[in-house]
Amino acid sequence: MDRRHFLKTGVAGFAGSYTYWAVGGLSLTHWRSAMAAPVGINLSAVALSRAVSANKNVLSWQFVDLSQPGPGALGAAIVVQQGDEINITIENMITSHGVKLKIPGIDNSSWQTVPPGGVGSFQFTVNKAGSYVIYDDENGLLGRAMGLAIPLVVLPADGGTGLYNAAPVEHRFQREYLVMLNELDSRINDAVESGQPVNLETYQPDYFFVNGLSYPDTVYDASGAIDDSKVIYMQAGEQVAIRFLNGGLLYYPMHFHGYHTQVVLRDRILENNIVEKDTVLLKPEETVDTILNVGRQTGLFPLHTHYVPGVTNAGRYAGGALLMLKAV
Amino acid sequence: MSKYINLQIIKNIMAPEARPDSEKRKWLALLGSVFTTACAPPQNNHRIPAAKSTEYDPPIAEAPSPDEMVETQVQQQVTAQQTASQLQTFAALGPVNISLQASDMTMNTIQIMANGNGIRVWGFTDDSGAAFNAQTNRICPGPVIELTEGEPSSISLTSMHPHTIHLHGLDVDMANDGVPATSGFVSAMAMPGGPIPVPDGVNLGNPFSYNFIAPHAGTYMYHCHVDTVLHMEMGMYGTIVVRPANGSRNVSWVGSSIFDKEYIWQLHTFDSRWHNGDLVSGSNTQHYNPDYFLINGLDGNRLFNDPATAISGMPGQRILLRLVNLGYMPARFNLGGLPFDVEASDGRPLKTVLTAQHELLIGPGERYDVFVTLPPPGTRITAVNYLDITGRRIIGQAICSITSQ
Repeated sequence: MDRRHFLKTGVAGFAGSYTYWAVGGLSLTHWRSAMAAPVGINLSAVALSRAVSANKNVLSWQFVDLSQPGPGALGAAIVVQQGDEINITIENMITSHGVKLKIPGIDNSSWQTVPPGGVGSFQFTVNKAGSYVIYDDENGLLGRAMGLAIPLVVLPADGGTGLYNAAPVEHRFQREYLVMLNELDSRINDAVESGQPVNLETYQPDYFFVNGLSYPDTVYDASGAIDDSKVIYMQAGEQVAIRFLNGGLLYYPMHFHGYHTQVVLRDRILENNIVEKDTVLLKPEETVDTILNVGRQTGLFPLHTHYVPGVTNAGRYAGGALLMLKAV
Repeated sequence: MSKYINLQIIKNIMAPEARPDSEKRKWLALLGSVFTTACAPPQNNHRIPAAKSTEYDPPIAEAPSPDEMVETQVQQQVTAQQTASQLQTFAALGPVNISLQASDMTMNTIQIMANGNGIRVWGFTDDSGAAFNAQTNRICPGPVIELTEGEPSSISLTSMHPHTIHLHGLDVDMANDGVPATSGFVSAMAMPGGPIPVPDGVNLGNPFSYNFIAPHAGTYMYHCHVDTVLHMEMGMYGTIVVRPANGSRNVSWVGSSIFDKEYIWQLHTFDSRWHNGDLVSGSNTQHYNPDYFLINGLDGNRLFNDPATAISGMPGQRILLRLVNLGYMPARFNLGGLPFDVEASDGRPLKTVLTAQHELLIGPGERYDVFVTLPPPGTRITAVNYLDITGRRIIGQAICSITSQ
């Protein structure tokens, strides 16, 4: 296994009072206690050079909160409460393309494009608890291909530890993790950087990310040791929420070793039929909120896309969208 | 009673690429003749009266085949299949106690595809050299492994080079998970510099037994987890069926529909460029563009002649079809307009049965248990439409049939 650290972006952990978010060092842009109505969030859309391997950088676009960067290599992650009025202000620092937000599940019909160099705002109210993907809708598929996607998590209005308002005990949790998936096709990034025509019909990504990181950076620290702040850490008897968000353009069939998980919400709607899964399929834009009931089985168990080319870095196994459960 | 299963990989004397052309042609011809040999007749069919029949539409003549020529061939072969094997059941596919191997034979065998081209594949076999369907006419998928819910089980892998058995969906403990970095690998030749690079992790020795308790009755899968992107694509995979604890063989689990016959459809694709001799992933596996679209290791019109795949039975019979996506691409499945019920996924019953479905999306790594009641006599053309990984377009089809006699 090659344990070189492909992504050199900083990683920071966060621990909350009753739960913590740790995959890829997830930290929250807005924690519950800091929220006020309306919630104001300032983001920038930026173009940056991103290291995807020891000897390759690509041009990438990201939404970032310059005052409080998001988890892992994500530029931002937003956590609010059901019923909040949200006002996202975006400064578009990408000089070549406009940006406009889309949030599946939220009406964006009145939202306007933010031109290069401009500033715009997007106002909405979140009425449904669960996970959302925020992404650029101005550039067709190109926005997400270049990385313009961030998570939005809406906590239930009752202030409880359920995945939704007045959730029964089986849909509550003691720990909570967020897994945002996306990818890039370095040929696309190179074409954009050099001003060449882009053909997304032949989109075939070669780098795959969990919260902006590729394996082994999703599991190991700089010394090659397992980093407990990156893995999905869980203890016997706990119920652990794992929120999957697809910010990319591919299907992500996320396979659990060692455990099945309960699919509770799919696009914030309660799942009534296909519930207990070891492989959770996400389509682009989709979110799936799950509860894993931790049994007595301890150890390290991979969690990865079963589109196995997505478990590589530029074709070399193991890499990409692979993370680890650590059951103790 | 515990079950003991031994997996092996066979060793070939000389890789096809290294053989003289005349020898290679002889080799390919031999394999070609083997592959076109009719499958053995069923040995252990069980007839269980249909417990329930549902409303159905009369058979329809429409076939989703893209052109008439193919359609004509299809119809001819469906007829041949009807006379060759009318009562093939999965129960006849293999003994409970089998042993699997991974050696160089299965690492270098050429499988002849429907277009006549030979594709090098890897796979698991039992001790007799048989793969799926207890036949020697294909290297992949591997043998079907049957277990019983709640029973201590043991699967032994004999392997010359580094390989593992990952018991996908069985939720086994870490020591038996088959992941090299966390669980080790199996190899008789694990020294650096061998033909296959040694993976990260501990060499568990050769053979090695994976021990576990078979979980909830249902449909599962296994595959090698060493350099997975290459090994699994090359064919190192198979299906596990866990039978109910009470020994029933006409229900998928206690409480499921009763079935009269069952089939397994193992979905998979090949990108033939990946089969050109590279033994390790890298730049050769950077992009995946499959050009062969399989069910149970076969492609094209051969599916209609494969009694383990082409579904047939009597009107009113209830069929269980275990759909197992062992490939890398999502697929949309249909039974040519025949409605079906989805009762389980990933080895677990659905909370509510999805009745009268006409299409099902199945992602890589997923399994679905589908039940269908055979309508009045007639044949429908079924389709597994493989999608690209963006889900936006169909990139290939595996077409087969369902026939009510």
